[in-house]
Amino acid sequence: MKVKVYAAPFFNLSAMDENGYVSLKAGSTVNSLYKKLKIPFPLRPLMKSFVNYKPAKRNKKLEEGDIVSMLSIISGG
Amino acid sequence: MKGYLGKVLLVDLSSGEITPEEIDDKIYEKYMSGMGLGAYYLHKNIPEDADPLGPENILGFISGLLTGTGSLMTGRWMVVCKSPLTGGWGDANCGGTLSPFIKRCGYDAIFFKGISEKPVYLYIDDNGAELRDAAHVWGKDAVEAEDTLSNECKIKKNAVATIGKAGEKISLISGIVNDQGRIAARSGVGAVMGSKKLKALVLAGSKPIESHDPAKIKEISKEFSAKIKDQNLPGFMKGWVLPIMSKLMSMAKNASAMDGLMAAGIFKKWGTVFINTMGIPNGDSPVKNWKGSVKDFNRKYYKHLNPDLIIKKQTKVYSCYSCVMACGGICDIKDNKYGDFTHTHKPEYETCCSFGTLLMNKDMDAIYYINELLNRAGMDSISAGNTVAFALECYENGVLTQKDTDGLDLTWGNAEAIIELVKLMINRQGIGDILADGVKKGAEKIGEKAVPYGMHAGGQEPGMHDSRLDPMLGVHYSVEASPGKHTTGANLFYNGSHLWSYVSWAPEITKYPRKEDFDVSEINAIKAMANSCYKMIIDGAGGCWLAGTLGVQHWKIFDWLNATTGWEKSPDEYMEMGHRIQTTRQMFNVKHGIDPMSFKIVDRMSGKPPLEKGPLAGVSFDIENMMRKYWEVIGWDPATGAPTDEVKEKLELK
Repeated sequence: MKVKVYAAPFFNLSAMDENGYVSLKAGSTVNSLYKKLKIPFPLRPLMKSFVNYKPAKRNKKLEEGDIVSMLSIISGG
Repeated sequence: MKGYLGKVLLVDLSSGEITPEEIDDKIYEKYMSGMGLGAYYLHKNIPEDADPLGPENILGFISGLLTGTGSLMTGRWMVVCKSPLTGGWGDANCGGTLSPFIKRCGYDAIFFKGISEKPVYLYIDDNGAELRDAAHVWGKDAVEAEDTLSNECKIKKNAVATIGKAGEKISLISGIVNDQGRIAARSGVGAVMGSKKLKALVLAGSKPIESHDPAKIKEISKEFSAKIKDQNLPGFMKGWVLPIMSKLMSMAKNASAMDGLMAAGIFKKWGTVFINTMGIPNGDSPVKNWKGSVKDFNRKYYKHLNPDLIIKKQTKVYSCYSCVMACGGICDIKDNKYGDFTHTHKPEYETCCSFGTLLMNKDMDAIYYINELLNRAGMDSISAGNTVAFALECYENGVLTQKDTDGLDLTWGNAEAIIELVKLMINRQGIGDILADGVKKGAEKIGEKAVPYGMHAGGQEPGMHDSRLDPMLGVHYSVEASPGKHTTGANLFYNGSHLWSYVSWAPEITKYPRKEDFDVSEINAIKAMANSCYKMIIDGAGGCWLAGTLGVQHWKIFDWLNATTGWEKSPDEYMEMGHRIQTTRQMFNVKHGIDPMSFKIVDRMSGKPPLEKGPLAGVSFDIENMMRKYWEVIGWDPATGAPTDEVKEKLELK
């Protein structure tokens, strides 16, 4: 299955395809996505993600087409 | 009429006449309110040879179409005029609490023309408007003037906008202040107000603001508010993490779409000062007048600007009218070594950078102190910081000596000398008189040798975001009718905006190599055009630009606009309104004799020559052709920058 990922460029985006999707095995969780994006293990418990714009825990099961948002940085001031 | 009042007030300061004017519904449907109403009115009514500091110039204070309707983050007020700083279109905007009061007085906008014989202020309540003597507040700083006028007002619920000493002394980098030191700072709007001898506006109206579908507005607001409430940073996010993230960002080869909402937690925690340290390792923050890098302003320096240290001093968090993010704050500075102010607004990132990183100054006490000096004087901290940087580099190269600087040793990072120079600029004394009008005018007075050290676009000093990191910033610094501003667009902003989900012609962002940002390409030009048009909608609505960066799928401005007005327009139709406003501002500039290419950022800002050290070493880009591509895409002549007959016809501007 594929999920859409919105993440800041400091994450490893190599697992993301040209359309911004990451492929995962069926039944994968948010934590599986962290692994796929190579987010260092010690940081994973501290990460905060949203699935379809709602807060999600690490064990949240993902479904085809879900949108997963992670920390982003927008400059300004 | 829903969301707008259909009426503006024209105040002739020469004759003392105050006249309400009705504005046809069709004008709102073409231009919205806010920036658009200002562009329509000024383009129509300011003659082409008007002196920006003369009686023919018009100064407008305008509320937003969404202000006061129950929509969120839509409480900003606009000031518009012919800019004495650039000679073309001028605008500035500000948060705080003034904007809804303009509408509560029964008007969408208040325009001033003429020049008063003596200092006056405008007072409006539900019974009407009158000009009152301001002799007793002329000479007072903005905070004192606001306190005095607000206390004199019999109606407790009021809002005051005023100039400080900088505006009274016609500094071309002065702004207009509300809420005890918050400034609509750019374009020299304070100088125009000072030239008219208009000290302040005191607004105490209480008229209702109606909307087409208040229940729908409430529903959208509730959803947005809940999303912001959910956004809180995890515990590990301390200030020390920010430079690490910045370094990682600078190493990224690819860019992708982001969910801008995820940045809300950062704004909630620190406000804009998170960029103080985050902007340095990746090159976002210009260092040493745009010629340095993190190799110069390294951790030993920037650790003093750590946002954690700033929020430790914060005694109060506040938000602008109708905001749920609350990025503002008040800092206790009773122990400040430079002066006797008790508190100041939490300095914005722009101030911390322009008086810190840009000047190689690591002394936060100096930055707090200067922040309060400038807020009270009503002087733009971006322009003032750039101008001090210009003076420091002139001094470094012998173009200015201690003989010229009233004995000040203007070496990089000399906080005491920087403070004294700021005071001289505010009071227009000595070298400060030369510098009080910004870098371009300053260089003209100092001489040819000073010219290379002035960073500006069309005479206006740039925001504190380096165009060599994100060249789309350079495009917006150069093509906007009021140049040099950082709050219109950048690739980073576009990638979080999600405009492509709503606007048929906005290019979708997925993942792409970051190096493509530097291409002179149609797709980059279309993205920049989308930024410009969207910004005009935000400014027409009275929206906060930071809310725009959260993403249009969250901050549902198009839905709010329809619920407020009942227009039922599509996002494409709103973007066409944005296009019309943007083009009208450009027509204003052409009418007033501006050569659009003269607004191109100075060479250093596009990497000519490129930096030799730091994350932006070797970077340069073809800004001239990027500007031409933008002009071509938006329907302006790629050779001259003037809007073409075709686009004027399409936008019904002929």
